[in-house]
Amino acid sequence: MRTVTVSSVVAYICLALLVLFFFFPIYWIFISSLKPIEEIMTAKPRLIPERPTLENYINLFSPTALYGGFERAGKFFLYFLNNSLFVSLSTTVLTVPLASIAGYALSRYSFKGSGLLSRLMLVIYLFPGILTIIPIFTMMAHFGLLNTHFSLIIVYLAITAPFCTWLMRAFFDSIPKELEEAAQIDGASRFQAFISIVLPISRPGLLTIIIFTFVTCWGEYLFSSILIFSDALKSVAPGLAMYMGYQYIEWGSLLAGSVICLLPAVALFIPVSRYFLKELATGALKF
Amino acid sequence: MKITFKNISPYVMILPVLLITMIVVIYPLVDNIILSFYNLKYGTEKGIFIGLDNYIRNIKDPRVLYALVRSIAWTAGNIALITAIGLGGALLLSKPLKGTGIIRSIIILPWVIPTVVVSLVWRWILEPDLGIINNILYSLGLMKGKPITYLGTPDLAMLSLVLINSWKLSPFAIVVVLAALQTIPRELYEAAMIDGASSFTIFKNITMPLISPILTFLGFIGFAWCFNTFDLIWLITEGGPGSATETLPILIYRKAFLEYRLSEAASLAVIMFIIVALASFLILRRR
Repeated sequence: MRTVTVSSVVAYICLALLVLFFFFPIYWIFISSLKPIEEIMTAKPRLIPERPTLENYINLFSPTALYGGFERAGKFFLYFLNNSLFVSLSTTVLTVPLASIAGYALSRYSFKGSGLLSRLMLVIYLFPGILTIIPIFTMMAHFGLLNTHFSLIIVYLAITAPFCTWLMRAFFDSIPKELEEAAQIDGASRFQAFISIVLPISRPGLLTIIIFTFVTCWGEYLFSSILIFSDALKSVAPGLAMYMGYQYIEWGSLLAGSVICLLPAVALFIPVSRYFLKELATGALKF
Repeated sequence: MKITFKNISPYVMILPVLLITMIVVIYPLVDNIILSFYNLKYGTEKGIFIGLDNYIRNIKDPRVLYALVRSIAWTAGNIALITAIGLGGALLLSKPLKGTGIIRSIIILPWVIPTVVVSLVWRWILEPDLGIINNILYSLGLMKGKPITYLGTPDLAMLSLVLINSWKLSPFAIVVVLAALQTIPRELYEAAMIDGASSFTIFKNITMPLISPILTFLGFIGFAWCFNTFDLIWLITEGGPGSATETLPILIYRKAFLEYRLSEAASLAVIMFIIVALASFLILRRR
């Protein structure tokens, strides 16, 4: 039995390293954000704060917070959160119905090009923003949409809807057709069957794309940094980045700000991650 | 063929998603090509048709060649590391060890965290004077004298970025490979063990062939994500120090929005698109 013990010890060591590598950085930013500024700026970091405090969070929202050595109205961070919330929610409200209907069509109807279209949806999701940012910028400038949340919502819709369609198609594929057929035999129309039979069963799938869309928009950086230029309209990601670029970094507020930016993404994703991963895997295996 | 509501409806159901994709992805792609033949500098004015001048300028620009080489190195390094961690991590987590269940359910976290937070977390960890890595090296006596500036030294900066990007993306690979591993019937392993196959033989002759389609999928997604990475590099080093981490996407962004040469940047984007399309075709053809 000796060899078994040795190999399992090695396996546990590898497992510990894996956990350390992937989770320590997250733990560390969280813990650091709870340290008073003197403790942050000392060269001897402690794994647990000596004197945990919310002072960084309070500073972040105080009316005259210091950013990059400049005094700035602390309410800006509130604006950023508010803007991100608005843009992410608007996109989610639009993407979810469009993607579920399109995904349903790709799953249930067989028509010319349906296979190609499904694959196209994934390719579009992977399509790099950097290759379209210049014409999108000139297009938005042409229509006078620069510096509006509307421009961001349009772009985010195109980023999220195709991938959500792809996910929903995989999800609908896993629901037996017979359920709807039975309802249709009982006299329901296809649309009625979709609303009353398919949608209720699809709750995990819908929840997944709702949260995927929200989280994607919440953290998006490239488009929101190019299409929006007034501070009051900025989202969280470019907002945080703005304070990061300066030579003098105000670590205290920045650490608190990044924890606030990461919390909704993590808190929303954890409950649905099981469904998301399952769908992703089925989609990937079919690709 | 008679056109009735029945056979037209799937197209109608997909139309909104297709339309938004057309406006935000396909049209800009075409517009980008048109733009690349003009001498547009900035904003909305028309510019003059100058033929292939932008392309010639880009080909002659040594920065473009260096950026291309860096992009290739960056992509290759990332794909290698992500696949290795993905495969190793998945094999480890599929073992019956204590704690793997919970780790499997949250391993995806680094992938979910907004890029701006990822860049902040790592800038904080790698900070030369206050960062925890240098502090550990100091206290273990492994480093003396000046602190290591991970992101301020040309070779180290690229390496650090590859590591950070792998930290963010390999959880995705782990999850996908884990899903693929679960589709392999247990009987195959049992039969091989009865025949006295070593674990390496089992891995080589059963595991690898059965998960190779998923590895191709990962290679494709990894290529699409890494070759086009903009946010992460920009937010951590802005392509620096000097131009040590200036990949093609960074150079496109720089030319378009900092040097105000929109058309020249657009032509570089076309060149990059051709490379992406060719490489994707080659990867996907292998399936």
